[in-house]
Amino acid sequence: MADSRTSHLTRRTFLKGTGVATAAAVSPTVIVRAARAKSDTLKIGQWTHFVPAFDEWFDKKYCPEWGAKNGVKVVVDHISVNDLRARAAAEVSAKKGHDLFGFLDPPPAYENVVLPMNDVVTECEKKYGKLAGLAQHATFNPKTKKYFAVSDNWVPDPLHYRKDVWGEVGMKPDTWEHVREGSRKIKEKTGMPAGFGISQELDTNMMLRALLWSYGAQEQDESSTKVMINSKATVEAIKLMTAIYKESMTAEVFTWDPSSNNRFFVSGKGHVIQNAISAIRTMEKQNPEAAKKAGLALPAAGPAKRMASEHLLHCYVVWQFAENPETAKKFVVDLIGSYNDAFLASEFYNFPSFSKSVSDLKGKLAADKVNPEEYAILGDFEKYSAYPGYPGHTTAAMDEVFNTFVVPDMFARVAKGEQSAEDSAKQAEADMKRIFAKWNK
Amino acid sequence: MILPAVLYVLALVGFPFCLSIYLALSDAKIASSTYAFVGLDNIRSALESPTFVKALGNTLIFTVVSQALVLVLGKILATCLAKPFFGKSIFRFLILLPWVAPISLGTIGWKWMLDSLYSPVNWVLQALHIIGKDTWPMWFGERNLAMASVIAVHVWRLLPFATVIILAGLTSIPREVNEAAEVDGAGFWSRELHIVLPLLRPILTVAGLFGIIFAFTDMTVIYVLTRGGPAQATQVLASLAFFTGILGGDLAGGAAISLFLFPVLVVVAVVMLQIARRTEVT
Amino acid sequence: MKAGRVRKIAGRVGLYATVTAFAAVLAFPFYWMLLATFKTDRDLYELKNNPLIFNDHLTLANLTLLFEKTLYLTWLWNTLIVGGLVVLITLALALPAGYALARLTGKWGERLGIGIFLTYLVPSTLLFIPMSRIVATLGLQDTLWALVVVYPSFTIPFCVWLLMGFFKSIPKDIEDAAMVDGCSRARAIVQIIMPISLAGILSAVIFAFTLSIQEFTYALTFITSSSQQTVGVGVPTNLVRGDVFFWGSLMAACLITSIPVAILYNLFLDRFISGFTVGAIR
Repeated sequence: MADSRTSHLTRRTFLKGTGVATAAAVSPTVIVRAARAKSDTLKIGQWTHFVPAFDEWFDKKYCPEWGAKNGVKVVVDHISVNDLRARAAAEVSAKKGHDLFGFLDPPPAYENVVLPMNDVVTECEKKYGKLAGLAQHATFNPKTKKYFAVSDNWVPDPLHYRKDVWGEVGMKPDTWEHVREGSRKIKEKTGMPAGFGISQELDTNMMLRALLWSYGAQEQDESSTKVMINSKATVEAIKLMTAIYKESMTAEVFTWDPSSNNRFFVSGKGHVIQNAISAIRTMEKQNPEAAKKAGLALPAAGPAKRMASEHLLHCYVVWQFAENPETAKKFVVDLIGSYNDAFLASEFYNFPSFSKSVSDLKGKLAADKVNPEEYAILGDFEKYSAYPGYPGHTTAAMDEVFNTFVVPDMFARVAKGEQSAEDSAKQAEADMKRIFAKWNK
Repeated sequence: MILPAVLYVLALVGFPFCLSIYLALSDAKIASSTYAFVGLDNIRSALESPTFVKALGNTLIFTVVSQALVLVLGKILATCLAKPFFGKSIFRFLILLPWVAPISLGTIGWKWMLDSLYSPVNWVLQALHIIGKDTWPMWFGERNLAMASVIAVHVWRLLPFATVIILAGLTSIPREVNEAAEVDGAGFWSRELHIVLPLLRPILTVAGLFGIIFAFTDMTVIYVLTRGGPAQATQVLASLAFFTGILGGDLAGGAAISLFLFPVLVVVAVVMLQIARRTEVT
Repeated sequence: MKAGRVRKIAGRVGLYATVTAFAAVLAFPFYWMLLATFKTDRDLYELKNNPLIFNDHLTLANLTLLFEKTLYLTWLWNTLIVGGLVVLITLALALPAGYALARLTGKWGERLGIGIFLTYLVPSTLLFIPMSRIVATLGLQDTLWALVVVYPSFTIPFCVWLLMGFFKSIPKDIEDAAMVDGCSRARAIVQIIMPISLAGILSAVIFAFTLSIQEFTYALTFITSSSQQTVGVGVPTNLVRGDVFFWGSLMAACLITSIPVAILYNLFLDRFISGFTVGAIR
């Protein structure tokens, strides 16, 4: 039915081309727009959430209710993850756009065009407890003492593994050496591959940083000015990943985008990945039998420490040209105050950036309807989690390093046999120094 | 007569166009309000980066190979479709499909076609015993395969339209011209070479030029399929500029990368358009 | 005699083999999209299944999601309106310019014509930044008009040169003959040139319409409200959620958008191309 209707529309428009039909169809939009500009509106732009139910809750329940209470009309526009940055750039150039804009990773490059959020952070810390260290470091510029964004949530990045398969070889992916050893044994025994992406994409960017840190390597120093990527620890981390690749992975890990490792794990092809819980959640829906065999684990420990990267760090900015800046700030404060609901609506995807904005986090995790014992481990995740640029701050230069895939490429060149680990680390250092030089002029 | 068209385009694009060029020569960051002129610093910085050099080479390969394929295959297909035959309408419908699909969605379709797990292409190859179960090609994972894949998808997308243009060109060659040559005893190849191709030249030149520029400036296919991977093997200037300028925030750097070949392209465009314009039909 | 017949049959076989091969490759993704539209998730994601057939019962869930949970019909409608208006603006400006370039103008017209082509050389992935400032200045942000106004800036240059190509491939003699017979140039254009170049004009229409359907960057950056989006942006925004793709619905959207347009183009092409050929014989 829908089919015939569409093609009918198509033909009619095309044949008529212009004329009354078209003019009539376009003009209402102009009127709507004018009407909207007049009223007191709060315009929010943010990503299309992985959990459709979260957007449902946010768009249809939370925002209308908040709007009614505060006498404002709240309009939410969703933007696909990959397009957030382009959209933000356009708004900044046009000096027009949303009052509140949600980034999925901290946007230090935008500091000049956003309002400092120090007041919001102070108020939230007073009301909802301390801001998590990782969120603080990622959204605060120590040079200017400004919060260029305020983070309401971040997303943990646990290991997903198949308990049954790992049980067969009598191991758990507790350290990176275990991961290597276990993967090799599983590959020998069952032929199942491991799944750590070495590709130009987000998941790889996060997972490989976690590996670097756990080996004691770091991209920059604490003052965020000195490039430190070229180290012995980096070389060792590269060698470990190369070994895992050679022993227990296939070239598919070079092809991946952020959705690929989900499919890899959910389909039952592979036995271990590191990803946000979207993977196990999808599995529960698509493949409930297999989901029972899936487990979550803490990030693997390296010789230096046990660390993971945040998978996403959601943070709101208010543009200097926003039409409704005060309302926008109030919205954020209140939203953070409602994080109990947000946490549940996101199916535990959104972890609170302000510690007390979700009460009894562990209790809520343990009350999951499907897989309570697995989600329980997420309760301690905050202390293992860091952010790009750790142990310094997320700076604009670091942002470019991140988005031009310097780290994934450093690993890929070695895994593909194009360069030695030492040379590759050296090249990454040169790449980073070039980028740092541009930004620190 | 040409003035309204020129004015329209210049009115809209003139300012953004000049600003883009200025950006490339400035130190603009994504959120800076003032730009200082820095001359060729951005170009110099870009040239120091091995990724940029790689992207430059990739761009040339991607553009030249995909355009050559599009024109040659398009001419073959158009020559076939110019003949009457049974079922032509259905064939033409099928052939047109890739061009009308919204490219953002069509490319997502290819992402699955060439997926590492679910690729129906690999499945068919395996069913035909061309490849084994454990030797599935990882289309986006190997240097050359990845480049071949993005070129193939780009050709897939542009071929239908190139065919239509050439077909339309063929049909507007008056039949008498061809018939006269046939009466004079010219064979198929001789007619192709001495009559059809020269008459098509203006159209082919413009179509080719457009294709080159399109391949050069449009990064949809690469952005969706490989994001420049593996290890920058399919990174082209347009995508690198996007990663650097928009995602990385170094606007001037991005502009410099995307405009690096601008002078070369200008020369190519001017020469080709002159050829298209000068072609005299007798 | 006999050899001629054999050759004719061989020619037919070759013809069919060629078009079949082309059609199979070009349309294969759409066959897969059709499957994906009606496949259950279980069927789609089971590695052991043959990907080219249905292994489970058929489902309408993907279509239901597309039509009921997203504004797909609105986006489709928006896309068509933008496409239609862009075609009109483009033709109104490009037809006279193309003819002028082919026949009339001197040096300056030619230079202007080349000039507007150069605006192509800046990728839209960069140009959108200064362009969005213009759109905001014009007060067009977040309306379809932004796209209607901006799209011709990239459809006009190519259409001008494309049309010029077609006009050039029509021997000047035909026009001259008509003018000798007492036609004014205007009449010669309308009555002789336009009908002969209908196929070419149609290519320009197809080009402009399709490019506005496919355009992604401007549609993404100038428009935020869901209700104002076009298919190419609206669909992926709502059906690609983080690292989860709603394949069935995505592919359904691609298919449903493409098929009517392809049918339409096909009808037009047939009408015009055969119409012309008949006319020429008569």
